[in-house]
Amino acid sequence: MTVTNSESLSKDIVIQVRDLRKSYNGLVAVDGISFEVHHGEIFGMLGPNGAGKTTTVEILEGLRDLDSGEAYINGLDVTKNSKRVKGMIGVQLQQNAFFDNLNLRETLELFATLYDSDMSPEEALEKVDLAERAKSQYRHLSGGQKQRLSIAVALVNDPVAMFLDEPTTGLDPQARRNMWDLIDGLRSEGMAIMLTTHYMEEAEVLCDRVAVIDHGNIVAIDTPQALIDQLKSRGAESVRKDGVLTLEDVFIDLTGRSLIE
Amino acid sequence: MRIYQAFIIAELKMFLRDRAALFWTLAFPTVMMVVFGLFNFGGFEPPEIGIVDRANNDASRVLVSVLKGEFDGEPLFNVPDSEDEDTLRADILEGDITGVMVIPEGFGEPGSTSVIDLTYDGRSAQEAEAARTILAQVLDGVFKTVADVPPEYRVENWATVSLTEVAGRGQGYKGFVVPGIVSLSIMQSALFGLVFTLVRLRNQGVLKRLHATPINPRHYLAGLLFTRMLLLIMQTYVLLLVGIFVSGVEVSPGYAMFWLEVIPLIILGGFGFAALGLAVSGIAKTENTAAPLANIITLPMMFLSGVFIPHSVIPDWVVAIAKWLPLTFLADAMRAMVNSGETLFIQGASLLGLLVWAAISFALAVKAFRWE
Repeated sequence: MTVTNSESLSKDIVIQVRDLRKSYNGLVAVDGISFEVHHGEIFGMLGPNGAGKTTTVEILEGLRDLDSGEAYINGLDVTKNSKRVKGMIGVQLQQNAFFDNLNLRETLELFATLYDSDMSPEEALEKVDLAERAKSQYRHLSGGQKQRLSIAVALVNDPVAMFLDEPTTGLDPQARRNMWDLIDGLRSEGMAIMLTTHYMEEAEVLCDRVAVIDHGNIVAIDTPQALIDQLKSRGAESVRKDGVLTLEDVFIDLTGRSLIE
Repeated sequence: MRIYQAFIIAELKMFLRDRAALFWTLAFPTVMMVVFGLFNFGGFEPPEIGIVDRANNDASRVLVSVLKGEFDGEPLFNVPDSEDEDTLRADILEGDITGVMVIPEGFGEPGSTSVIDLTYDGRSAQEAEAARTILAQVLDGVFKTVADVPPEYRVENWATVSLTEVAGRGQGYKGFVVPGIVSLSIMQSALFGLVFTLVRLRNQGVLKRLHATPINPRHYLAGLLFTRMLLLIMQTYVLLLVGIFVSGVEVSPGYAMFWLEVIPLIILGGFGFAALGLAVSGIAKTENTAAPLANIITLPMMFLSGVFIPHSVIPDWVVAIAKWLPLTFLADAMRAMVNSGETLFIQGASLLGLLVWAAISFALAVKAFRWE
């Protein structure tokens, strides 16, 4: 991917990544990735475990150093302004957790203070439909409720960008659909949302654009429909009995492997 | 400032809700105190008994030699140097020794029956009883049978022991062990408390989530340490009250300021152990490696720092090392203040020792701390 001048100057770019590289002890995790995410857009990174999705996201979140390349949020270099960047983004980590013995209200109060925000716990809980559980301690929540709380906490500072690292992994189908509705609703708040997933259905349902990532490289980047259309024009066949092409087929076609092994 | 405040409030709430932790913090040392108080494992040391020898004849000299262990090397009594009766009686009242035995004139003369008076501190009744038993055995049995005693002194029924109780200030073994357990509990609560809290939160991913907010480690750790210090103060007060009302020891007799002066001691000692806990939590990856590591640090101190076992009964070369341990400094200062009513301000050596340990531990903790 090359970034043209017109794109980099575009005012509505919130997240911008150029030729990002990162290895751990000689093992390449991210091998030269470039993309950008706009206001009001849900951008998906679709790939198997170990493809480099989490590393990319955690560099943007200011949790990891990068080896080379550039990463900006709202024009701020994340490596140089990590505290400021942390203050203006919303984060849901892959293994997200809060204090077991605090109730939801207290958790949100605490995090509002950490982000120097005056959003009330009630307002944040309302947004994720957890208002009636304000007095429950975190440890008593179901898996889906925990994920929704982590979205509420991520919203507490009115972020310009939201990072969701595998937001529905481990959830039952009902809870997954609830999360999809919730994330879809966030789009209207105007922030840039970047989510990683290894569920092709999730990417198809939620994402405006998808980057297919494998072995630390982006192998394709486009709208889900465009990726499927391109595949169709190459005359590929579906793995499904009904013959409908999906992102799963796109992934197999691009990498020669299935998404979930 | 708001951030520090928010963490302190959150930490306090969490701690009060963690009933199991609250229970174990107080229950375990309480049980230890009760057990050590009741069963009196003070038998490590021979009782401290002064001897006044009014007879000063061959028989009395043999008796004193046996008690001092001059025949086979094992002293039965720990005999102070002074032989002056008035000095020794004053020592009982001060709680410095357990009792005084007076060997009457004419002791051991053929055909006579002497009565040896053993005056003892009522506070140290258990130790006095042990001393009486030893003395009776020596008089009644050992003189007859021990090969080391010259045959001419192996006679029967020539002396008995009478007991006289006085009210002294001695606290005996429980007076030794209560401040020891209080100090030990400060170490355990500070070190293990920090290790397990941090390792658990790190494994759960809570610390990483905090790292994703625009705060510094000090914001979070200050709250954690502050609440731990509050807990240590509360815990120490509770355990000292258990010492007073359950074990029956006197805490800092006649010096009420103790209850305030002990606070800086708790904080200085507790901070060092908490920082050590922080360092351990940074070094250990999981709870499975954290527990053995924390135990390797605390177990030797439990036995070497004069908590249960007085330094007077462990080898000198061990004491030479053990006296530099942080728990030794804490237990020494605590014991001096609790037992003798000494002020905090004359514990300079112990406080300096604790300060150095706290600085070392804190430097280690800063280096080892990890969010994930």
